[in-house]
Amino acid sequence: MRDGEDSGEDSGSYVEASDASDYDYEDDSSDGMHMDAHTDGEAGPSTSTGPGWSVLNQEAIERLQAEAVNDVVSILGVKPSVAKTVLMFFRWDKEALLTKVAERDPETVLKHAGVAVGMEAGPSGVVGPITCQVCYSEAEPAEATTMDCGHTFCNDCWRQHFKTQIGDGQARTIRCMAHKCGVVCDEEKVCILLKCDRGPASASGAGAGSGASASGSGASAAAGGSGGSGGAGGETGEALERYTRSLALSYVEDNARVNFCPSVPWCGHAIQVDGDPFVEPECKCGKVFCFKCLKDPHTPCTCKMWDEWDEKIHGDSETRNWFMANTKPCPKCSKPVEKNGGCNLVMCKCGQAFCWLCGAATGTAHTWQKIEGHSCGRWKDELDRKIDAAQRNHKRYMHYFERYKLHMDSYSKEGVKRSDLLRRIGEMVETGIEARDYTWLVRALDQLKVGEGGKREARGEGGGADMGEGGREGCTWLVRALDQLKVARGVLSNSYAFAYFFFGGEMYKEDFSEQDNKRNQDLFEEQQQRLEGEVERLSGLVEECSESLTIDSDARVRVINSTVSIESRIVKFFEMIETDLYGRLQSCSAQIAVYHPKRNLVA
Amino acid sequence: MNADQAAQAAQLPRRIIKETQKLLSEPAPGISASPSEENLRYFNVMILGPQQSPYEGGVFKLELFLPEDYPMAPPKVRFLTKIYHPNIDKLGRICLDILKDKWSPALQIRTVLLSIQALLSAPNPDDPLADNVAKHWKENEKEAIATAKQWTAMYAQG
Repeated sequence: MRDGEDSGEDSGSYVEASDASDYDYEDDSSDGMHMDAHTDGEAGPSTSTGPGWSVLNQEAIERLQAEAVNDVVSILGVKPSVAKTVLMFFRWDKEALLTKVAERDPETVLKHAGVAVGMEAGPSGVVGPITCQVCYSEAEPAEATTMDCGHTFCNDCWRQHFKTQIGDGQARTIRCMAHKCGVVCDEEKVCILLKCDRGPASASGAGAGSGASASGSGASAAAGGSGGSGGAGGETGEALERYTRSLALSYVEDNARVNFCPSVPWCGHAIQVDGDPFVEPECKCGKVFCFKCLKDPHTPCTCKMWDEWDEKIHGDSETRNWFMANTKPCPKCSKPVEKNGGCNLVMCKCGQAFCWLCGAATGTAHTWQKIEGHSCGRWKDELDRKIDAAQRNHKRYMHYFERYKLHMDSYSKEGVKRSDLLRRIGEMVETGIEARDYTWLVRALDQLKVGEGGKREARGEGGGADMGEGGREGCTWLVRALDQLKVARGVLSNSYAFAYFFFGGEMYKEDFSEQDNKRNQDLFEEQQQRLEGEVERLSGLVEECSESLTIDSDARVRVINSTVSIESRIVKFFEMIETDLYGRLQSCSAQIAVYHPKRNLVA
Repeated sequence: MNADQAAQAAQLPRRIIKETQKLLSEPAPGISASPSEENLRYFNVMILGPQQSPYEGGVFKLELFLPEDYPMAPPKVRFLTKIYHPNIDKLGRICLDILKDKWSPALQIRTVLLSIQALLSAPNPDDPLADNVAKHWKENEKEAIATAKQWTAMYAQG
């Protein structure tokens, strides 16, 4: 079965070599139960897989789904539709399913997942007309269907039931109509029933004709049937389509290991991780994102940090400024209160009275001059301290935000620079200046084309192998330097968001003493500053090189060295963050995407 | 049955007609349900408070409506008589699984009403709709039952 499939796909329209690499990987995974048999050493660099993840296209999704189903079919000895039901119940986590099966007996597990066990009542069990317990009409055996659980109802009722369930978004768990049955209806039978809205009825038309003389019931069924077929045909078709689509999407939507690429407009790909969801994959479309929270890549920040940071930097700062200038937080409920006139005793909606001057809670007895039992003068010190803290916090935020923003801006500029360089090299090659001296440029251009949109054709013709060679000789080192710069900019900008939360914020207040904090911060900042210095240096070097495009080998060596040095600094930086900072957390564990150097970044 | 009703009945699914006939001809003990004259999908229901329950001696009025997609969708049922019960809120809405996600097209009006009757005999404060009543029930069952009896006397008799 699988052989047939494989050969079919081999001869199929696999243009992308990168797809073929997906394909290798899936082949590996089908050998064992684990998905993490990863082919890192395959020929030719590919953007479609990374450490711990791979990009799936539509066909790959379908194939993986079919393979998972086949595996369960062979392990549990059930039919494919049943295997699918069980897998959907276990959210496509085959290991979890197998563990459960090992812990308990398979029957209990299957039953729990909504599969009929030990009820082998075939459809042939129905002899003679039945009374459908849903519509109370008589139905010939050919007009009724028995599900795997042994419950029989008429086809019209089944169809109606399916449509209702599918309409309610329950397509993946359409259960039998019998009370307390709970068995999920067999996919094949659902499809057959929805496909042949009139099918079985017309097929049985001749057979039923003889029995139809049995008076009114036959006539009414026919009337109902014909009435339904006209209008309901399209509706049923729609339901069938929704049903099949929903089942097809299950592999991605219900699967904790697979997510759709969050690109807008959607590129049509999904990402599958081997296990650890804390990765930042790069989709074929170029979108890089955090697999866990689907937001922009944010390591070394945790998803939680990033969520707060995102909120902070994209929140409506204008509104916040107005609040800051015109309101005071209620000392009881902390909602912002605006003074709308009157004396300095303000009353929050929650019923708390407080002094507008100092913001402290007071009683309600007051005159225009004075609030009884309250004197702001006495609280002056604390007020100062409060303001100090607020100002300090704001300054702290601005400090980190400005640096974050700076690297973010450079990050985008690095991208512009890259395409600019590409364009200029292209122009030079076209004007045909001294092709002898600029062979590396021509190569680089080809290389860049590969890197940009032209991946598909180039790789299809075995361009992957070419790339390594060309890369070594040509000037891709410059482009690599730019890529490395971009990566480093991303890391640096995120590291400022990280610092905002990690050192002195509320988030890990419990974990570190002031002394620890100071030590952590020193450790962190030292490496951060060194990385920053190196990044700026390389930035300058690259600037020079790409200005003139006439590069002496000295400059070239400097750029390459700097690129490599940045790479190793980032690796060390992350090691330090993981072991020395996150590693010491007591209150909670924090997981981030591990930094992986790009395989083809440094030759 | 007047002409108007006959015309209505002709449009009703066979299942609803059959169920109605059976409800009228063989009513379940302690339960009566009859369709409204204006709308044959709307039923006036009365349930007698079960014996040995705080609702004993009470007559509880309910309304039951069969939506367009009945029996694929459950009937809508609501208490009209005020009742002190942890699974029934002050608007008379009932917290009963078969009226929601555990509905099966093979269930009927009769089975639904029997389940509601059973709910009166066995309140389930762990799955409450009326939070404060459920809390009362859990903290001081004796007192809660006394209140339920009081309410039965006040609202469900007469």
